[in-house]
Amino acid sequence: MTEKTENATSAEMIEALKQRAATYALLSRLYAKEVDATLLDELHDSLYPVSTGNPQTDEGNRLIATYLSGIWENTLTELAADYMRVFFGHGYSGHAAAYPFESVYASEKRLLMQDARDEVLALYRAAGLSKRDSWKEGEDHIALELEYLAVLADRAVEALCAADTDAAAAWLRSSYNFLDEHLSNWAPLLTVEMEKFAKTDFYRGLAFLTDGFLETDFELLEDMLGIE
Amino acid sequence: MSTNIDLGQFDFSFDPALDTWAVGDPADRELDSSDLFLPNDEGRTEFLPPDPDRVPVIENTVKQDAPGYADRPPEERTRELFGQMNPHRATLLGMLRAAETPLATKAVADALADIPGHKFSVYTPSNFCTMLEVAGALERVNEAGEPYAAAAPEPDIVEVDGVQFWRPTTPPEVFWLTTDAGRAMLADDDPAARAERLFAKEPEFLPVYKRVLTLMDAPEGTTMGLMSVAVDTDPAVKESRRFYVQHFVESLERAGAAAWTEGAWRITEAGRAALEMLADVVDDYEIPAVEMVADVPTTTDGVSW
Repeated sequence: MTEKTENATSAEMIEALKQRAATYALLSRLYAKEVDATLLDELHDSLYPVSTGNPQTDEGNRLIATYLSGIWENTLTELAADYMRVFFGHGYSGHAAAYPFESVYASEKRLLMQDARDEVLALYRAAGLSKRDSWKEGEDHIALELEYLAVLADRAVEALCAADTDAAAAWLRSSYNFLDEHLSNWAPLLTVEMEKFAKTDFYRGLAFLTDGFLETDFELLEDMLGIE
Repeated sequence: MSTNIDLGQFDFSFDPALDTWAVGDPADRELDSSDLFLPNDEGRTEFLPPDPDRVPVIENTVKQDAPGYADRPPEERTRELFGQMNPHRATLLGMLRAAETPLATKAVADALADIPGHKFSVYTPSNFCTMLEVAGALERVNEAGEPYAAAAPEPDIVEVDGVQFWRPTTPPEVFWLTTDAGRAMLADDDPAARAERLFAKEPEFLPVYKRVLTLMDAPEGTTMGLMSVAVDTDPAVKESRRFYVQHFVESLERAGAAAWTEGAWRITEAGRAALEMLADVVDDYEIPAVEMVADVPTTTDGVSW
């Protein structure tokens, strides 16, 4: 490989890693709270790839772009209502919504703040991260887990830009471990339920997009890290 | 998704000031919770899915999603909506009146603000439109009043550098028009008949209704506090132990005889007609001076006092 080709490959890799950091950040934002007017405008003005090679991602993009094509004055309210319906629901049975917390899916009695939360909290702390005071939910909320992966992706980019490939590989390995042990285990269960509870194509689309992106990213990390 | 969204605007959950992890020595940095924790099987199980079949059902709700709902006559569904939304009756009727000619969605908020008696509500202007639409009292039309093109929203496909993308489109503006069922509801709205029914239901309190309407008929309107002095001190009300002033005000409001406008409770045109109905009623209760009654608030937001 010539130096020029290596540089091009490195630039492409940096671009790909930046792209995955941005996608994790956007997904995190969409799960963290309801869509606001500024974000809705930006989402409406965005382009959504038709064919990415992952059918789940393609379906997610199609559903979201279709929903946004019906935008009107009440869209923000509709989305806010659907966000509440999907992630909060009503009643106390523990079965009334697609609860966005890992502990719910990983504890026998579907409880919040269980071992899974303690584990991810330890990982965040080990990575030097601490939540803002404004975040009042458990640390195993999917928005935080996605944001954590966005942070690790940014660090990998930073390391690559500094030509520190060992550090970049370590961050990617941490991302892979986190996906393997946490997010990829329970996010598919969450998204199946999101598809059932959601009444808008936006949140149905978000479920598909999440599945597709996590699947693609897991494979990408396996390729980059040479994991069989 | 494409990446032209400004991620800088997001307020993320991790505190960037505490992101102290410096890129340097990667040797200890591979994070794996299996290294951080001893095996712990207590309280753990396989990943469990939720069970939507166990979602509690609220009884006696109108199931607008049910297949048969849309097949029921719109007049019946509209009456049902007005029954459920009784506190918002004035608003719903005002909406139907405002949409007798095509009303742009962006003009709905102004139309609502002009409705006498419209209250602050968790419902947005568009929520009211949607409720009336689902009930069959409003329909979506274009600016000319023709049926709104009901085609399902569909994004465009554009090609950028040889790659195809979905690009969300913007649908034509929605206007609202009152349907036949909505017009029938307007025609059936008869505040005089509602006031008559109210007075027939509570004949023992006709003097109280007359007193309250008279207070509201003042040019500056009145407050809940002043009406309380006039009503809650009356032995006929006190001894009944059933009602307080709010009951009478709310009943008159729902009958269309009273409205909270411009910071005061005021009589409406229908209320003046109702007051005339009570012309022969003798109200000989002497309202005590405000100073004689403890804790009468001088200001009110119409509800709290």
